[in-house]
Amino acid sequence: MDSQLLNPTSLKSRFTARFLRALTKINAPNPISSSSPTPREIFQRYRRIKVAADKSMAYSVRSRTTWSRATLSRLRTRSRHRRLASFGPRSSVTTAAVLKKTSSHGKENEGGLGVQAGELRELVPGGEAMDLCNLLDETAHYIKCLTTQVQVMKTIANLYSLE
Amino acid sequence: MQIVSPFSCSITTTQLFSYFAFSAYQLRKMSSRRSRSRQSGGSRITDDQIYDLVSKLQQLLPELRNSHSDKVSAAKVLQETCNYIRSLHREVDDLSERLSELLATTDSAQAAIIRSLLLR
Repeated sequence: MDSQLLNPTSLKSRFTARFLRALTKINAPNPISSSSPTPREIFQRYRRIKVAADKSMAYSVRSRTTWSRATLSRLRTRSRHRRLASFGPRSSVTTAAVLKKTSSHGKENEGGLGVQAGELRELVPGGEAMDLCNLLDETAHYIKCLTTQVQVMKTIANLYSLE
Repeated sequence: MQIVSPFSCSITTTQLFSYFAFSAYQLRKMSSRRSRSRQSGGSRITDDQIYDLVSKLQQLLPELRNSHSDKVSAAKVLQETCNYIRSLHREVDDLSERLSELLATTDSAQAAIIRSLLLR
């Protein structure tokens, strides 16, 4: 098991530190509840952990890649939506309309990869507005970050389930 | 290439600000893309570039890493990439669920010990 963090500034250690701090924050408001938590509480906590994981990863990458910028802006818009609930639908429609207009540029030279590239664009955040070269670049980095995320979360889950 | 303007009459300042921020981001992206293509001597992306990127992607995929790149078409690499990303998303979901259950049941003292060990 790799519990040693060789490089203190590596992506893995940055993500781990941020994610653990977020987990502490999520767990804090819950004093020792002897009774088993309701399924609704578990679901809420699951959503918060998932959002915290994506947020920690996006913050660890900062704005160096388009997908991290897209994830961060998506997270900020979502938190803004929750606060201004009445204005939510309008701003999301505006952003989607703007993205659709830019998506046609840079896709002329895709060769025979149109269908798969479109699928990939849906999976990688911010992929709609990228040309093929950037999309492949971003995908490589995105996969690397996702594998790091999975590795760290697996390690943490194993540690928690040792007792 | 045109930039869309919102048609809604009653628009808040936050929406206006986010719209302008996004269009400024677009303009920056467009100009950077144009200057990049000028440097590469043409607006078309070469097939070699795409081939390099696809083979780099192939090295990251667990299933296709061992087979030779000429036996695997670019379309298959992209398809496998999509499947791999989806499976990674699913793994993250499962791990989040597992963590949420574990957080609920673990004794808080043990949790504090674990956290202090890892955040050292």
